[in-house]
Amino acid sequence: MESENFISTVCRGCGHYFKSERAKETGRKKVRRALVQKRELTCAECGSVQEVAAEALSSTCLDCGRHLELGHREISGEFLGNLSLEGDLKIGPKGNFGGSRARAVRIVVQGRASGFLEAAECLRVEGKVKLRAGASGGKLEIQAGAALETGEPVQFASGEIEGELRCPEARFTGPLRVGPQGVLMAEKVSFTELTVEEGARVRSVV
Amino acid sequence: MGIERGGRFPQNHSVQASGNPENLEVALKGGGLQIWGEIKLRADAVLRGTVRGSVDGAEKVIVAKEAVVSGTVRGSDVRVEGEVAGGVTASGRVWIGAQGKVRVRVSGKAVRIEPGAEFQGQLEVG
Repeated sequence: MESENFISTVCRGCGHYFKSERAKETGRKKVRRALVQKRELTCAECGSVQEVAAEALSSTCLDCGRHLELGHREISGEFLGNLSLEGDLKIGPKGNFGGSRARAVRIVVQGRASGFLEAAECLRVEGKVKLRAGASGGKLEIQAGAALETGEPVQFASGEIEGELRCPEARFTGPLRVGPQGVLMAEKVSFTELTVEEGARVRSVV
Repeated sequence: MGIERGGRFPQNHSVQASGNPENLEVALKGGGLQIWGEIKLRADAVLRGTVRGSVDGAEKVIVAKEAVVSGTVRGSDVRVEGEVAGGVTASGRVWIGAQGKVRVRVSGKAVRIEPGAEFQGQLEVG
């Protein structure tokens, strides 16, 4: 005789194992795990693409083993090291990037930077910025009232200049637009398509 | 429109100016026809032909696809679909189309260079 709350038992005669009706009713339900949101990540070192959790703050490249910092960072004071982020970098109005190279998907510069800036998607200039080294990346955006001055060439896929750009050479592999308040002073400039709006000033050799 | 100097026009070739005085079309008809010297245009004009010299327009000037100008093209607004070897100077806008070719210099208040256009030289805007 089994307890009235028995869940399972073995027949003493034939050894058959069986569950009670109660056990069948209260059987464990499978817990559905929430789907993990993922995003694609391109390794800055080897370029291989992999999927990581959307909320991950760091990862390791499966191909080259490079440590990938995925979060965003804001520099509000002096920063002397090099940076390589898979997120956004903001150099605040009082920030100074003193390292030799900073890489991020998107870079916003309001303060100073003396190293080379590489913005995979977009470099946005929102202040008066002087770069000792150059800059490269996807899109260069210079806000109205802002200025970017470099002693080295800059190279971007496209450009949107509403402020001021002064550099020895500006290379754009795509379109370049200089807005009505824009100023472009470069010894040499290249592009596939150019729009200079009335009011802008451009002095360069193509 | 007035042609100030030059002109070696074989008998089977002609220069035609058509349209109203505010919108003239200069069509240089006949293969190999060339004009030597400066062309002064007092109205909007479309150039179709070869000019061995400069074009000085007071209004809008369009250098059509088949046109070649070896000198400078000046105008209030200048649109280049053909070839200009001596540069473009406009008091307004300069527009270089996808098949346009300009060398030496482009100067104007606003500039548009289409993808596919060829420009080599000095760029001055504003």
